[in-house]
Amino acid sequence: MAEIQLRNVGKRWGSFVGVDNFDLTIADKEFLVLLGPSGCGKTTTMRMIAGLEDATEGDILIDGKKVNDLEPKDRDVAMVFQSYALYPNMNVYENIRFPLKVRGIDPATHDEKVRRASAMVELDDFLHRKPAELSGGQRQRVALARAIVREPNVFLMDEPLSNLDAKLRVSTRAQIKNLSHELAVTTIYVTHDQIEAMTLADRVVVMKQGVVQQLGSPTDIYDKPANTFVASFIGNPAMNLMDGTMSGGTFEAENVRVEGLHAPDGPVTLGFRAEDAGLGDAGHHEITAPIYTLELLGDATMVTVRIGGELVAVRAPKDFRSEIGDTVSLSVPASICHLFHAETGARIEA
Amino acid sequence: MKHRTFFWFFLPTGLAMLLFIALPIVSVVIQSVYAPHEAVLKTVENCTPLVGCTTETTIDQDATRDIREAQPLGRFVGLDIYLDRGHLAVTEVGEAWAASASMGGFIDRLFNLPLYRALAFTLTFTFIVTPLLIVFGLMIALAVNSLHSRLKGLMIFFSLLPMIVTPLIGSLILFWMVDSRGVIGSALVALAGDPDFSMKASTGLTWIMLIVYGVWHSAPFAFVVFYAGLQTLPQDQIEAAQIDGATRWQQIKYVVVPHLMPLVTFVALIQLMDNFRVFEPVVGFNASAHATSLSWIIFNDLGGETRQLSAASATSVLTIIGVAILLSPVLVRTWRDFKGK
Repeated sequence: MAEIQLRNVGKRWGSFVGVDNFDLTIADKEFLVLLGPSGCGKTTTMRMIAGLEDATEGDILIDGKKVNDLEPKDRDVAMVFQSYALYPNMNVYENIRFPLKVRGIDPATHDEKVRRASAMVELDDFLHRKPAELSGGQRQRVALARAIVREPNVFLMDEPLSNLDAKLRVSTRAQIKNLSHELAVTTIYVTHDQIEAMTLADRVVVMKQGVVQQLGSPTDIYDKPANTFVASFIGNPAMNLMDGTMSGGTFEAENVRVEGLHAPDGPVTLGFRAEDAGLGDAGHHEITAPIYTLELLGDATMVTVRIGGELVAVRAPKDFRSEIGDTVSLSVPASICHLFHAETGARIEA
Repeated sequence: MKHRTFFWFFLPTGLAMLLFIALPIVSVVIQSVYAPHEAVLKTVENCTPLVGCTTETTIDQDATRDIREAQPLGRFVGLDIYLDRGHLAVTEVGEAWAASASMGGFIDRLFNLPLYRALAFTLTFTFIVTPLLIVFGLMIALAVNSLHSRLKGLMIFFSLLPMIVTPLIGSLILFWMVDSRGVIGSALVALAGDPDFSMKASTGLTWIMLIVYGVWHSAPFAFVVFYAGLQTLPQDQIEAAQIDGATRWQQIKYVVVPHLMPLVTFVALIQLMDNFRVFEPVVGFNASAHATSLSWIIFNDLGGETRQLSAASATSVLTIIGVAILLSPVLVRTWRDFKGK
């Protein structure tokens, strides 16, 4: 079991900054998710922890021991790759056994360890097959079994579900969550999928262009986004954001008027989540605008209007019916609103 | 693909193969079962008043020319040429077997026969040079691949030099180097402390010299093929092996070599064929007193005034059969893989 400390870690290639001043302590047995769009530095951070990439600056400590100069094999980490990275010439059994074999672990224990690991990921019936004879989901389970077979101190998972189809992604995600619970090993998981982050993480790090935007529990990240980037990255659909002016506690923009807010006067960005808002009535409505589009989701109907060039979506009851172009009133009470600085995008606390 | 489409698609290639591969082989096979016509002799009686009459046997030039023009291939002798002393030497091998008390003695007698002596060197050369050049080629490829990108181009050029140099010139250069006045030769003389020491005078040292030359000349081919293969090696497999705990050697053994195996088979096939036809170094090193090869026998048969075309053809056919036997395991495996798909 291991605590991981990243002390002002950075990675540069010439003048390009891949990761900037990453400072974080990951607790023992914690499941930490690095979340962000492509090129945000999340995979680079993980590769620096694995030893596959040298940190340009800062220290990486595993269980209090600085590992910057250690080879990947000496850091006692196991990694699951997006592309599975299985050895194509070996069958499933040999793939899972490989870490035991190359580390010189007592051969008498190999069979038991391999079978236990394969049983955990339900691969018992495929041990004799080559990777080419397996589906994507099965291959990823082999990669998981190979990672857990030698009981490492740290699991690193680099977008392990990205190559799977939607249905398989859900079941494998559940399997990873269950494994994480059973094994209780410090895990760092890289993804650009916010649903994976929300469902798996104890804590989430949201990154953009090499810089940490927010660190917190999934609830914190979802309920109190630190800035407009996090607000627009987390949630499906993303948080509605609209620019307007604050005056005496009232936010005003084209077709929008929200009262009862607490923020200094001046330009601000207002945000709210589609599922928090609803249809308004004659007495209570903050937005009145023509319907831009209607989307039937099955359990709800998504009503979208256009405010100052931005699309704003609101979740309506599933039986709501109207026509594109009809005027609709939407209820956006102050209690569901988030305010952000118009220039910096930083959250304005009430 | 429909059979008709395939036929028209394959026709140009098929014709070229027929013309440039099948026909020459067929002509060599035919030539090998015909021997040159013997000269037609005639006995002439010369009578002079002083000496009297004497009979004289001479070549009937006209009759000989007529029979050679009528049957330019020569006379049909079946497999006689294959079985004669210059080739399979069936009778001589039987006598050697009967006369030899031990296996060593039999082998000694066998190696006095030209084909078996050539075969011994050819097979030794083939089976030592081929694996060595694969190993060296792989080592050079791995070394160059791990260099900084700025150095790679220069190193690739130097590594390819032995292959760029014409084989005959390459072997001559090494030949001069091992001469007693050459760099290696004089160093060996100094090392051995014997002023009469000569690599060229010893059969064993001559074989070693030729084998070293063979590896030196062919390793760049293996290198360039393996280096190209290394560019397609998935980086994540290497990284996975690093994290799994594999040492550099284990990464090569379990990840790199399996990835390159199809190329190893390819290089082995090509080089087995090439090395079985070893010729230039035997000539370049002037080594025919100690080491002859099947190709050298063919060259020797065709040289000089006698120009033994049929003997050379028979050795050529035996060489082709030898190459086919050498390649058969790989060809059978490829065929099985094909049938299995």
